[in-house]
Amino acid sequence: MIQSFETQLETCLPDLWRYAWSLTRDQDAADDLVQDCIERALRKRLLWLPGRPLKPWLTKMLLNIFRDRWRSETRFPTVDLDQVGDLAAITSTAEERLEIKEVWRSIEKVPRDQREALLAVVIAGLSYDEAAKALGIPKGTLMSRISRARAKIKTDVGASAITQIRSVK
Amino acid sequence: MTLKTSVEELIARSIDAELSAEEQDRLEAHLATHPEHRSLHDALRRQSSLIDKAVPVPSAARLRSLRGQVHSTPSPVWNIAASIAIFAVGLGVGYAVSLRNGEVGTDLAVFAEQATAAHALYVGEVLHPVEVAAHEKDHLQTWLSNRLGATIIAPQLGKTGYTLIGGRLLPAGDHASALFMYENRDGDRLSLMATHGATTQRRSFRYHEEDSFLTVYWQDGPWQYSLVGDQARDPMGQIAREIQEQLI
Repeated sequence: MIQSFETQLETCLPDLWRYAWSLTRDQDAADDLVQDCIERALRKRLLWLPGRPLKPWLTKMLLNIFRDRWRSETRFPTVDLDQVGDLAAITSTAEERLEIKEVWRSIEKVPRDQREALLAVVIAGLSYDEAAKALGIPKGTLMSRISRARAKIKTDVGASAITQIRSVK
Repeated sequence: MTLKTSVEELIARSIDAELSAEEQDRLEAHLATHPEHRSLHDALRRQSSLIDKAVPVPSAARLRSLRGQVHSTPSPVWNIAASIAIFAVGLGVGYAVSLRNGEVGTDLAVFAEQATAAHALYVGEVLHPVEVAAHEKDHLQTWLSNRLGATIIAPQLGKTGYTLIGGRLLPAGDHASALFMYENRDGDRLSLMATHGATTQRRSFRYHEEDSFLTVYWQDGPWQYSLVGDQARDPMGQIAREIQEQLI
């Protein structure tokens, strides 16, 4: 059974919003991106072929809107890492909050194409095939970008953990 | 590819839920005996979970309000663009099929593919699935008959649970064609596309499957028909027979 445009749109919105947030780290910016994306999708809905998944198509539009703004406004306001996702509310231990901050500090330093690929899979919840479609790159390229991003974050966070242990001593 | 890179790739795909059950089992077996790969796997899985934890989950109310602030009428420009797009799809499909298959009767298969493309384009439309709605059925039938150059009626499919939503005029090669769309109580939609006068022959039912659509197509004399939907052969064939009886 084919899901209608509206049903699929509604199903995609939470992931789409979280992807927008992960790119901008700002709730208002995420709202703006998602709203513009819905608006563009409705304008172009006749070009979407029913029976095809809507999510990669929407994600691609969201990314295009994001990239256009990124270029024209130098960059989105980056929220202080201390406020990332209202950390205090969602995790129990101070140690874990610190780790999350380290991970996100490192994500900031990952090249943008790698970051977009990693977050498309981890946050937007796209399959490799869908993410490759959304980003307009071959699946192999997608996988290698994700792998490089992960390796960089792992090295950064590992290095910082070692520094912390040393500084305690 | 070395063993090392292939294990790392398996680990990544495992974290991203891209492994089949069998591959997952093989990976688990490998990790059980390779602690260095197990620790890489666990570290990367934890990394993904940490990335995810920082990202807020928007409330349903927030998303409803975002959705509600956007008006849902497609602009006329996009309606025109879509008409051009479907025409181009038709031409493209027609060209591809004639290249693939030069035998007699191909035009019927081309027509079936055009019908599939048309149904795919309009079936998801909430606001404008048809140009003329069913409550103007007489007008619809007169208009389409005039444009096709032969009398066409919209078959009654009440017995099969489907009722007419309405219809529209579409190009089919260099001929005009009529599309009637039907809907049942579950919201399932069917399209019947008909064109007249391209060739004259008789051809019994054929089936064409593309993506999730099933198309039944046939020809009675000068009339070519295609019935498209996302149902199985069983109801589709019966509905097609019902249509054939009414249109003969």
